Amino acid sequence: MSKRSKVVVIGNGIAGAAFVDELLTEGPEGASITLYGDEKVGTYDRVRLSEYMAGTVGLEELGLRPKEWYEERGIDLRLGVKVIGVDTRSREVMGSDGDWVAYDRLIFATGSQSFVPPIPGHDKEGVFVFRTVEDVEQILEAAPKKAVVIGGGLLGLEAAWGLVARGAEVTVVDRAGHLMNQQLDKAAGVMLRKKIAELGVGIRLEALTEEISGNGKVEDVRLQDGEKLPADMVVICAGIRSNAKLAHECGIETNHGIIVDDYLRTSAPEVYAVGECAEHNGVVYGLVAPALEQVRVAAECILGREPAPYHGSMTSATLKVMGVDVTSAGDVYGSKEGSEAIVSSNPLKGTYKKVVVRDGRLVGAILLGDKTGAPHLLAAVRREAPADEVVELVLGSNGEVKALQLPNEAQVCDCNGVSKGQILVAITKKGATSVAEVGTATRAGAGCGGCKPVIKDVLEEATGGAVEEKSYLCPCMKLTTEDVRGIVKERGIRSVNSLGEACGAGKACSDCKVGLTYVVSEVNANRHEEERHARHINDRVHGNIQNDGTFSIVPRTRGGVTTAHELRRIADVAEKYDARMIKITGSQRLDILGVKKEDLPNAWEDLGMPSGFAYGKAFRQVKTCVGTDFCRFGVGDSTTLGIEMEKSFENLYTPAKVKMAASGCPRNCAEATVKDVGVVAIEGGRWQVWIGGAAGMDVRKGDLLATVDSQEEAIKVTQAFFQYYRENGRWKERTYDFVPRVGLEEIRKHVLDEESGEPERLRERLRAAKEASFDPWQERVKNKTKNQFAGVINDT
Amino acid sequence: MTRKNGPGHWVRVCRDADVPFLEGRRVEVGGFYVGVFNTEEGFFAAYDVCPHRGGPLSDGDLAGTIVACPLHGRKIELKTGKVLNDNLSCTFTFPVRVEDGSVFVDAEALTALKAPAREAGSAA
Repeated sequence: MSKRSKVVVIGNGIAGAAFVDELLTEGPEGASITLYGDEKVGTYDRVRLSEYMAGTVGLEELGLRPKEWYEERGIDLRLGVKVIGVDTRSREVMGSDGDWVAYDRLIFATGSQSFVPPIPGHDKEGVFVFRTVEDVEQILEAAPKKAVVIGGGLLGLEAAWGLVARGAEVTVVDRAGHLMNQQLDKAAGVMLRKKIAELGVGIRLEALTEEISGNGKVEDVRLQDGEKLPADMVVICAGIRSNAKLAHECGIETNHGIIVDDYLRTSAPEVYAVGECAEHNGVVYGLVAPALEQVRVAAECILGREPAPYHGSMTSATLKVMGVDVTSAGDVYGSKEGSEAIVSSNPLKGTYKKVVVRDGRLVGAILLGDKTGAPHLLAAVRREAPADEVVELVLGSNGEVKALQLPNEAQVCDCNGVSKGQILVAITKKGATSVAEVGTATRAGAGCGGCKPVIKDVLEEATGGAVEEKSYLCPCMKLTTEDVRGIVKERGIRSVNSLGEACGAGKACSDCKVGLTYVVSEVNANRHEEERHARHINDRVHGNIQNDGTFSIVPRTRGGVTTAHELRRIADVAEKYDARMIKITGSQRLDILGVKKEDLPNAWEDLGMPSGFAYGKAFRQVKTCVGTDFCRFGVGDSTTLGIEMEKSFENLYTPAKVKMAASGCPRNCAEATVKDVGVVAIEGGRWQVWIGGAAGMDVRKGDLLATVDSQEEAIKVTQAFFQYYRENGRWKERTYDFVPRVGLEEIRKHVLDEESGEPERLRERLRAAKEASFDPWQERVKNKTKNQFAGVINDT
Repeated sequence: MTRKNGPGHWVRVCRDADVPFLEGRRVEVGGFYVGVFNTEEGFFAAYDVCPHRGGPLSDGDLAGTIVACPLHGRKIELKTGKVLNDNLSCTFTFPVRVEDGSVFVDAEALTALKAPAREAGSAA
């Protein structure tokens, strides 16, 4: 590129900003850049792109670059200025500020907007348009009873499911012959339709919407065949429309978008287009990753390098609707000449697998109803793997997935752009031995986490064997919970500080300090030296820190039972301290959310209730049903038992949080079989004790530990198990991992065999720990540390 | 606030005993939140808004001279302001000195900050 070539970029969204960044890799002296920015979308902070792609932050949350950033780099930033004309012959653009700016190279990065089909009535109240998943929330807030979703693509189906989940009656209308026609072939679309219909969603295909009618507000949607769908909301998910108008008006060739060649060049000399405004080979990409690929190619051209031509982007999609697993990648139709498809379909089980092969290489894939091997298949499509490697994925009957031989340059983590080669460096050079350590070294797997199975395969391939995921309590010193327990016991250690001096843990990195505190406190039956710096903020101020730095308050309401008095006080506290929300939690408790740290002591005082420990790795609560007290089906007094259990476990810390439940009959309304500890009353006054259940991130039905004859016995068994877990669980290991790891038989040996005396010894140690425990909200009277609850501590 | 003589713009913020050993506390300097940390290597100060999602670093977990944000565990080296486990821009750090039990922060670096802390998404 010649010295100080003049580059003008129209559009300051993701593509535009990324483009400027690419140019700057040559240094600011390479080009003089003029950047026109739409006022709505500020300049994008590229550092957080991966998070945006992973969906953990929205565009709105992305940081803005200060004007100085541009000044320092000599960029002429024209924010809020619209380009209203381009003279492609004299090579000048005119902005709404009246300036003409000359260019050597011009880049359109004007993006796109939601496409609203010209349906009569689309401007009525109750008609929503959306593109991003964030927008769904706004729609859900309107809480429609009957909704029509126009568009049966990925977002349309997700919107429909969101509305159904909130109790709305939903019909999806699409003009195509099958659902998700961008990502699925007809056969998969038909099978998907069945699954979506089973969720209670109405579907009208090959259906054109003729009119949205109603008196000011939406009342119904009329289809071309005359059918009328009553609706109080219409959601339009009809895709995007490129912002190609300006280019078109300037005589540049456009179709759906600005037409570009394999080097992102438009029909006008030295004019390029990238991102959602560009149409390449008939395709407009509405995703971040393809935009960035385009940006790289175009920037290389302008910098005078010779990039490999852009041949389009591999796109992949995953439908996130409960119970329906759909993964699609690449060319699923196999429309190009020479394409062949390998299909395996089982309509009875509702599974459909297809790979499209061209010239012996994998170019597209669909997985429906079975996501086994999905990450591998996506990776294989991305690198166009040889077909014989993946045939087994489709035809393999046992569902087992063999690790695929990835080349080093293959990208494994899409969210953070980490290749297999980078992962291998982390393993061989930096000594990473687990998926977690690879993540620390490379950030692979830190986005959506979908690539973790592939990372594990790479690890196994590199280390030549199965990887045992050793869960270190202190990764720096490579110490497991068992190691630390041993050190604490052997040397009679009573503080995290002296533990650190003994073995180095917790000195240079804070990751393990909270875990060390747990081990030190548990081994010493809570007669340890309490060091608040070795607790998380939640356990320093006894509330759960929220995303804005405020805290939540969950008072203890044993067994989920409260009183009118308590409810009044909770309401008063919420008002007095400007709580952002009062919420009934999933475990029958009331959560006062958004209280400032400095208000916590007074709020607790006003409440006059003990801490519910809803913030720590600790015993939480016992969820109960009303049992024999009220229920006509109850066979056991689950409420009383639940309250007794709660009294015997409250204020105690555990390796990971512990949730319990007590149900008064096998109908199990308290869901006791999916809790860490659950008791269920059965006929004859007997009780089942379940352990190791979960219904959170993991779902696991608990194991039946024992069936006992009375409430007293039920409590005794749960106490023995609770203490056994406290003493043997690994830090952060939930019971649903602990129970299968140790084994039910081994656990029974320790907690049921009363003749051995061990269960009683466990209970004795539990009582000892309990005696030295306390309600931490009492620290409102006598603070544990200086300025414990202070907001700002300046003195004058 | 008291002016302290010498180069820079030294502002007295608190007493050293106000910040427990191996913990942080928040102070306000010229309308900005600043976290003051009492580490094994002495006192440090940093802009109290995590460069990741705005979490209060003063409520973080401290070891050595590294504080981990309480919201999402981004680790910040207090000597340099560098984020150790993410690709984020540095956070601002301020020179600190302790004299006669008083902690002083050099507020000169504050001129580099544009938006007051109160508007930066972090509640008190």
